[in-house]
Amino acid sequence: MSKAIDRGAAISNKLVAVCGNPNCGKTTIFNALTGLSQKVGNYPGVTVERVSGKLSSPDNKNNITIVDIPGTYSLAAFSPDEYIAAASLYGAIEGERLPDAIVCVLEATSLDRSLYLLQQVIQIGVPVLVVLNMIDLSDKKGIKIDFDKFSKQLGGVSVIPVVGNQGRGIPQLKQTISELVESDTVSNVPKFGDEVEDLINKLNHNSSSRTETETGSRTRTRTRARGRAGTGTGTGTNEGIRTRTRAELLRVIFDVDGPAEREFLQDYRSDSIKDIIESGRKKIKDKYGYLTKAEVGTLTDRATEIRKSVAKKENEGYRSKSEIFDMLILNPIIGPILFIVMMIFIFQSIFSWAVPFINFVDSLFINLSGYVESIMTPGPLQSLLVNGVIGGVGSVLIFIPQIIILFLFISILEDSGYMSRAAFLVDRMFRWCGLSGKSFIPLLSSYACAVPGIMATRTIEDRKQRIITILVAPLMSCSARLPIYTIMIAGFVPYKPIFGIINLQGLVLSGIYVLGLIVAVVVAFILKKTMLKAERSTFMMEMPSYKVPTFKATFMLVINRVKMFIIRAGTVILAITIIIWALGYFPRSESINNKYENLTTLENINFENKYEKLNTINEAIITNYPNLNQWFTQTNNDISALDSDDAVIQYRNENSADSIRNLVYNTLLDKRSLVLQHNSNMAQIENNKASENLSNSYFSRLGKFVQPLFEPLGWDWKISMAVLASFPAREVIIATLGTIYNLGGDADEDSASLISKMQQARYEEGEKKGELIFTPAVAMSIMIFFALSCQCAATLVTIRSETGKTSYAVGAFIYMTVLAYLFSFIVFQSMKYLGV
Amino acid sequence: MTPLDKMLPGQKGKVVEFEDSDSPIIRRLMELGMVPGRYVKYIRKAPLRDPLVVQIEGSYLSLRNAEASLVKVEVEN
Repeated sequence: MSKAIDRGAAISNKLVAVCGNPNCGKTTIFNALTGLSQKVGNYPGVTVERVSGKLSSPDNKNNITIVDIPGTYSLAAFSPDEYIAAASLYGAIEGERLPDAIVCVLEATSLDRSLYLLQQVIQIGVPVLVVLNMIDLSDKKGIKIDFDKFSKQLGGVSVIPVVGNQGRGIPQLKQTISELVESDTVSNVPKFGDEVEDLINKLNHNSSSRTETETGSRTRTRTRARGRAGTGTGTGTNEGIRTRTRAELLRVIFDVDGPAEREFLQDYRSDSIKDIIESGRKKIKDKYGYLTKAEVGTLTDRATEIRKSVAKKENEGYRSKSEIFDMLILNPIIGPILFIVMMIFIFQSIFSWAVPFINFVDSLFINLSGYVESIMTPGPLQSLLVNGVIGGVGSVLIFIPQIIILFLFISILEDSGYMSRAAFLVDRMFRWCGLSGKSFIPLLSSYACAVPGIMATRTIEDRKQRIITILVAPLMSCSARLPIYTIMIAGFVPYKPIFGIINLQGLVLSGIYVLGLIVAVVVAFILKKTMLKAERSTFMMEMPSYKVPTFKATFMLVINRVKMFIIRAGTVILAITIIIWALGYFPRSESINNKYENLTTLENINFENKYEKLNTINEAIITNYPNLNQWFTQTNNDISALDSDDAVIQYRNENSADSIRNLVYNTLLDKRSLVLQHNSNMAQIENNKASENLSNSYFSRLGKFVQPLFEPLGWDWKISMAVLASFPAREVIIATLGTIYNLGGDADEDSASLISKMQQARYEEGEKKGELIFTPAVAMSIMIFFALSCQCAATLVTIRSETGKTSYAVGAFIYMTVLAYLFSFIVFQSMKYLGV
Repeated sequence: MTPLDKMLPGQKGKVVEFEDSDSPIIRRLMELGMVPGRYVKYIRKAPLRDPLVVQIEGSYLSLRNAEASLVKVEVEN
């Protein structure tokens, strides 16, 4: 986060903002400028993502930070993210300094709209650099641009042609940025009509002539780099009140009841200033007919004028590639089919194609845990590392492949321009329940993770649609839920074909995903009809031209998301895992320890006695029949490799010879049986010890205390505790189950996997003693609870900061938890009743 | 004059005026290029007949029938 730094004091630290319309290729240029030095943070006080990086340039004398401003059409904010973008550009965000220079990215193929934003940006009064992106596309379209004339028309600002996704023009751009922050040249600021200029002057004059007593008790201080308000006359002396740039004063004037006006009136608490604004607005309206025309009309006219003078007119008969694609992709019949196929393709790839990768990562962790176990002496530290850290966090990290695949698709769909088409196709379907086509992107993202999903709602200008989308987004089954679905389905839903091609496992998985969607739609409908009834609903969106997504942009997005996921696993999840481990490991009872030590000693003595007797016979044979030596060694090797009782019996049946050889077979096979029996006995003792320790632990005591609450859902105390522990972050359920069942010992040496341990888990006491804990009904009840409940602290925090109200976060938590309990209860009880 | 949403695919027209001129919706429409005096081309409807796509000054804009009805257009024949 950048501190407000006085320009004079720290001459070498420069801040350069990169702004532009949405989809103008701004992020590609930002990536090219900063390379891998990117840092994702937040703007002060809000969770709007602030991506910044250092200018990567060999002759970078100054320390230049580049900040990527979210795409915007105008400095007049229509949505919350546009306000952040705009306000950070003109220096109205507390704790965020005014940039030393602004790079404004223009799309060569839609100059009018780009020029509109540029003119507003020039009004800010800091040095501006114009980047003309996608110059290759405009060349193809037959638009010829006169760069010198362009620069002159814009009052002398540098204009640099660039093809961002090919890296063309980037070195020159870097060079110019370095020069610009040094030179401090500001282009001429174009004027508006007299009525507007008059009001700007009045607001400026008024704010600079205020006395300290009028400021009253307001102590707000904002360090400002410099005041460039108005025409640059002596402003900025007002005690405690920051000076406003010309661009911000325009917002005060034109955005009636907008955030800029509200803040302005708050700073200068007097009725006279309110009157000045009102009467000034009236004069503007009298002249132009309506307020908007004085600004937007003037700027759009000027934009068209500039465009016409610098760019040769587009060839009328030209049909761009985008139009041809649209004829197919937005076709009334082909379009929806393509959309559905694409969605199926994405889900298919996440759920089946990711599996080999997941198994690979899983095997890495199993090997790691085996290795750590082998090099450490048994004790609390070994248990903490193997069962707690590796068993817990590892079970979460194995889902990285799925996260990568999902964000890969989202990034590609967004960068290619398809997302806007999808929004267009589905808008009508979403509308009846208070959502819009723009809700589609946040909701699809929420299938990966609700946090970026909720953040993506910032592009929804409409407040009602935005709030509804935020409140239902956590119902989309996010990737953190996938592990529990995978395990429950693999373990407790039989693989059996239904209607020939579909199988039950796949059907249940799709069903769970659809359940979340259906509940979301119903909840949205109820919200629309009740609490958010009065507000209007709009949908306006530019259809960007299709682009080939750049590898770099896709890569950066995926890397940033995976980083977030790993950090989460390394912090919240690790902490909870350690607590769960400690609760399950302690207290260690001496008497349990002694009891099992005795049992182990007894078993060892017993085994050694029997083994010695057979060994004596073997040795006698070898001494007496030296000619059998080679055969004996071979047979001994073969038999030692037998790994089960069945294999031993089979070997015995298949091999027979003379009496001496038969005697060798029998003794060797008896020995082998003995060893197998011994191993299994030792494992059994270890298991019993672990499970007795676990039942004696704090975890078990707590679990048995809360279990009655979850009895109606069919859960035992272990599940109840694991679910409770996963309220801060739902992935914890796997880590917790992994830890509990690891601590509880392996049920069988050969099947170390969590699924098989759960399949074999039985009640150890009470009226259900001996019954299986996990039945299909229990598995369904757990899955449904996870599908609908809001077990994610990060989501709740995001809801609060994005809506600005704690009540929305609390509301989301309550409604989701209640729904989850209710649905789980109904499903478990009816399955039990039906005897499934 | 015809409301924009009542035009037919392929038709061209000149934007004349708005209903409710100083609303944020109109400001945003103007910023996206829907300015009186400019020519707008009606491209297509969504499969469910709403929203629609228009072309204005080289770019494509999607908006709902409800918003489009605020824009009054003089249709060219």
